[in-house]
Amino acid sequence: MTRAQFAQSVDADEKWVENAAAALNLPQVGYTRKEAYRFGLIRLLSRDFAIPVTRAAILADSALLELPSEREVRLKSADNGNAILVLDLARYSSTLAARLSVALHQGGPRRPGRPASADRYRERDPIIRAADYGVDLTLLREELRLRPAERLARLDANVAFLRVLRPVHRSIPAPKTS
Amino acid sequence: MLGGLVSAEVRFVVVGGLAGAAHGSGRLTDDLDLCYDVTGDNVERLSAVLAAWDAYPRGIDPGLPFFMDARQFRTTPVMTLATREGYIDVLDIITGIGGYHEALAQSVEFTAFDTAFAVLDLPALIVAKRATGRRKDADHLPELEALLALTRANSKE
Repeated sequence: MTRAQFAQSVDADEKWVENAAAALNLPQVGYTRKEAYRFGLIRLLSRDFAIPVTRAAILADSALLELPSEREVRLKSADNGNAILVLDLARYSSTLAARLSVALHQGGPRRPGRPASADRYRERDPIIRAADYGVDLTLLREELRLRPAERLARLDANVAFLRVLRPVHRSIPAPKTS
Repeated sequence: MLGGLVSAEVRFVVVGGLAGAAHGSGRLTDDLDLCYDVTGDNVERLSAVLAAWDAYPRGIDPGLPFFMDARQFRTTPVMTLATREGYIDVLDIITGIGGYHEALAQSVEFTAFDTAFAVLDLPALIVAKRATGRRKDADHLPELEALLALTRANSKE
């Protein structure tokens, strides 16, 4: 994954990732899922409990030795024993999985450069612009002759056909159509 | 999926590729993107439906615990999920548009698969696609803008 995706999955900005890596004396962070799992917990402990990054890393490393399904991982006790910091590791794992999924699917490449100004963009006829871009206008005109329900039914049929052509590994049963 | 969500009285607006297809885009998409109302009762209903469909974060190896409940929505209001009914992306806010109520105000009602549901209208969809700054959304813009121009030209005839 990219650094931006990594940062998104640990709920931080890229600068925080850089600074945390420097604080932990890591010359390079591997932007992997495993590291995201670790950095996400370091981030949570340092942001929500104001624990310094180096100390948070020690606590995170000890917590991550436990099974992800663990609901109560005791991280830290106050010196007088009056307070205990307990981590719901299963909840953390659930949150991280959701963030990681979004980062992988929605944190894709950004459009390079500055966006064209709206005025300049509108100078050209959008139909000519689309044709130049390679859009098949005859298909669009055909689609517009259909009702929305017919368009969605056609999409449903096409997607079902593609699923037959491109079976992919899934951890859950293959989705039904519609 | 749309039928299941509507039956469960979940308040949502269809956005993304499926909205584009409803407006006439020829692009194939196999996930349902929706912007949901973040009020408590609606999130409870949405999470219950998704839990019944065995929702799990898409692209994540099985084995990690995952709780599909209202608390999960509070910590991760945006999720990309695989379910036994299909792929679904849930969003609390649409970039460039706002939350559910802003999206609903810029939506049209369509009926398909015997279900009536709100779909982000074409001008708003274009605004949203432009606002994300993502390459894959930018690539979709020429087609959507041509569709808008053709639709307006057709309505004048």
